[in-house]
Amino acid sequence: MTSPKPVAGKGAFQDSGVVKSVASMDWNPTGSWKYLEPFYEDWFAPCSHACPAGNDIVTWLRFVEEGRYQEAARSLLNFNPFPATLGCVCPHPCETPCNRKALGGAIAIQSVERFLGEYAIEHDVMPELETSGSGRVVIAGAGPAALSAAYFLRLRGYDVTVLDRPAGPQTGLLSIPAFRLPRRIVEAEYDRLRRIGIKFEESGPDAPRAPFSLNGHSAGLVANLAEPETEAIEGLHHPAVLDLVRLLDMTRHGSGLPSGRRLAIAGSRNDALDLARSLVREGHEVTVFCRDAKADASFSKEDLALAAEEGVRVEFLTAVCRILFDGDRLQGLICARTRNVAGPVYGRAPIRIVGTEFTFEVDHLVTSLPSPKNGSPFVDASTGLAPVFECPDSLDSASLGSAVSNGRKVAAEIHAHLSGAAQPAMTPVELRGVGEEIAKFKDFNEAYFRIDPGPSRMWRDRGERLRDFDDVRLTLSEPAIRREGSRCFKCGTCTLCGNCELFCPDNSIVLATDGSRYEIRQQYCKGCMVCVEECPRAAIHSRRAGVSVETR
Amino acid sequence: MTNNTFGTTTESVMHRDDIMGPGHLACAGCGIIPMLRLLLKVFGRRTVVVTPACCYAVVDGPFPYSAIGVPFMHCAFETAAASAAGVRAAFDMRGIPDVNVIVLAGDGGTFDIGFQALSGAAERNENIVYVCYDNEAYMNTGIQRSSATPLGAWTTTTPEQAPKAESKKDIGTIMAGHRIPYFATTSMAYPEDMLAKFEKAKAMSGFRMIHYHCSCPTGWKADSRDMIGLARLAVQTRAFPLYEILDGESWQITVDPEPADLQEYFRIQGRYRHIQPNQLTEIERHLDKEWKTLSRKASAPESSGR
Repeated sequence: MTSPKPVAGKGAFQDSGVVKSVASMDWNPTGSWKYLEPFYEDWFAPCSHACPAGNDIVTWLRFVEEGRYQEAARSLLNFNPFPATLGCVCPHPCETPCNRKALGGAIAIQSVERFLGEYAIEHDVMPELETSGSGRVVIAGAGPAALSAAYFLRLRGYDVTVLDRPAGPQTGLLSIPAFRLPRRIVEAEYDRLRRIGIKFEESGPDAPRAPFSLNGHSAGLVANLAEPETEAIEGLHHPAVLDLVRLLDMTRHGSGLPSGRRLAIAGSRNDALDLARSLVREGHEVTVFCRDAKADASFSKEDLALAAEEGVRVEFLTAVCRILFDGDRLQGLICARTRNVAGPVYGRAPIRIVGTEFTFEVDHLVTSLPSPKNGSPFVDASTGLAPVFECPDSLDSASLGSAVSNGRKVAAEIHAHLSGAAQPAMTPVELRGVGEEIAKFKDFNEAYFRIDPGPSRMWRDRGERLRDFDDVRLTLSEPAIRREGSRCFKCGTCTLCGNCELFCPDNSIVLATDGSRYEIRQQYCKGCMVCVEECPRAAIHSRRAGVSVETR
Repeated sequence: MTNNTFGTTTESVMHRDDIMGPGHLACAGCGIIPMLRLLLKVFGRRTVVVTPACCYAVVDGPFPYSAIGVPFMHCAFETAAASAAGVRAAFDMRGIPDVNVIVLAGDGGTFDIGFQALSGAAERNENIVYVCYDNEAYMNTGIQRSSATPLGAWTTTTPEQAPKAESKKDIGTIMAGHRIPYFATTSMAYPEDMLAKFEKAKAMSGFRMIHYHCSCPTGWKADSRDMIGLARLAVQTRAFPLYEILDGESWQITVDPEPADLQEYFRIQGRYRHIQPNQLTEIERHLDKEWKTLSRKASAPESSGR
């Protein structure tokens, strides 16, 4: 430690105008005293970590808290092509691990997403377009993942054409009933795709369709929809057996509905519940047979609860085995209980338990029927030298978030290939530079949080719901949405609250010159860790002090 | 946009330039410094600080260095208030009225050794601000008891087998007896309250006294990271209530905190490790009684209308 020669009139005393005699102590590197050192690192908020689409939920909730909806909506749109749609149908796994649960209930993240999505529609908020990519990309298929890929490629600046069935892109998400996803929302969000410049082309009315040509394109993407799994049921060809997807389409138009009152649906995807809930609204008595256990079925928990409330019966671990009919009339179903067999050979395939068969009387059975290979569009690789990428796609509303994420990943791959820049697909949270840890409530300082209950009513009353096909969800008002923004703990994210600066006994924490973050002057920090302890939300952490301390 | 945890006053004050500098010699987690930084930010550069023998006299640095950033005068242990009164008199004689003269003294230099000077200056209503940072013992000489050490606490002169048998001296009531214009207790865990009191003191003249409850991880045998947590628990357990007294007669409790368990406050301090359940109950009873007395004073009508 070498101290400078004090110079009269230098240092902090110059401007006091009172006495000028001594020099400051800032030559003294007290940072050498420490055993632990603090460091800033944003951690994953549990919501973002659980989000299949990788949304940076904390960032938009911070904007929401301040009423900056425009910025919130834009930050959402930059990484999500369908915020309002997801705000309606996503099973919101983000809310399950929410740290706010401990003090008044999880943040209604999905309601906020929906609000921002609708705000974007209403106020014409558009994502930011870049121009880093150049080239033409053709995409075969118009499912959510395909559209997501189209969206992210377009945001990069590519010229994107989506080939779809003649009915246009809407066929995909529009199969979700209007009481879960109001039509105007899907239409507006599809419309935004056109408005940012994505071109849609019909790939021909007849199946199978001609392969599309790669001529003149830099890359192709095939995003075929997963064919629904057909259950092995004897007698599926009977006319009283109806196709799930077709019937879902019919309920949408309200025509061609089955005449019989009692219906059974065999299926374990969310569309089976969607159809059941639609038919209950039409006055039918509906039972859903799901071969899987409750935990394994891909139903969203929330939709399952709503369906049960609306009068849909769901039988888990039950398979329809055989159809009994008498001429044109369906007499009943032979069903059996199943059990799941886990293992490398069977996977999750359920096995019927011998001796548990029973007869179930219904007028119609609805299930996914084997569809003729009406052909997704496919690429004729011989027509050009351009590379062709593939991406799984699905219309299952429960996995819409994953579809968005898959689309973003493949878009990043294509961009990396075309631009030559190896860029892994990063979620917005990763782009923000968060550490690998998830911020847990135990990492917080509880003194800074109070119990603050969230919204209590999320759904319209059952009786009212069953009367129409209107949205079952109650939307939150603007003040309620904003309140959710302030209820959010902003887990693991520095909000510049200033506790660390305020309490630091060594003047070691300073706001960066651009005001965007705090910095630590390790040369003075004595390692007391008050900043770590008093950070409300685990944005500053401690580690063993570095071997060298900067001493100016 | 304000994200500040505590409020707009805290936010606006903390973003003023620091007057005090780093490199000082305080222990890690010292409670004096965050308070002193804010005190100086409120009172500004035209301030002179007078300090008797105490932790801060060492912390500030060896002559000719000083971390405090304003003119700083060391004085003898028993003379802080008298020395400050002298500095004030000199400024007045030279016709410089706008310099704040502040005493920064520990509890030893205030409650015990500097008490006669304090009482004299208060009685004469000298135009100074007296800030006592009370870490509840003579910390820099080796943790000896002072009359500010609380009931039941360990110090090197009140060992575990014979912890302090007397309760903390009620300096607020004593100062109220001097009918000084302003007396306030403050805690770093409640910065919004503390800054309001600093601003109030600054706006007044005459003898103003700030009694700051200063966490001392070293002397309290606590983890330095709990510096603020300790301050907060002291207020919540009513071991150190936050109040103010105007003109020696108008008492006001300024923070009525969510109550906390005294055991929680004691658990994180080695100086209370020896406390047995019956002692804990006794101390709780004592604090309840003190709180009731304080509440009664705070709720008394301002004029008796004789």
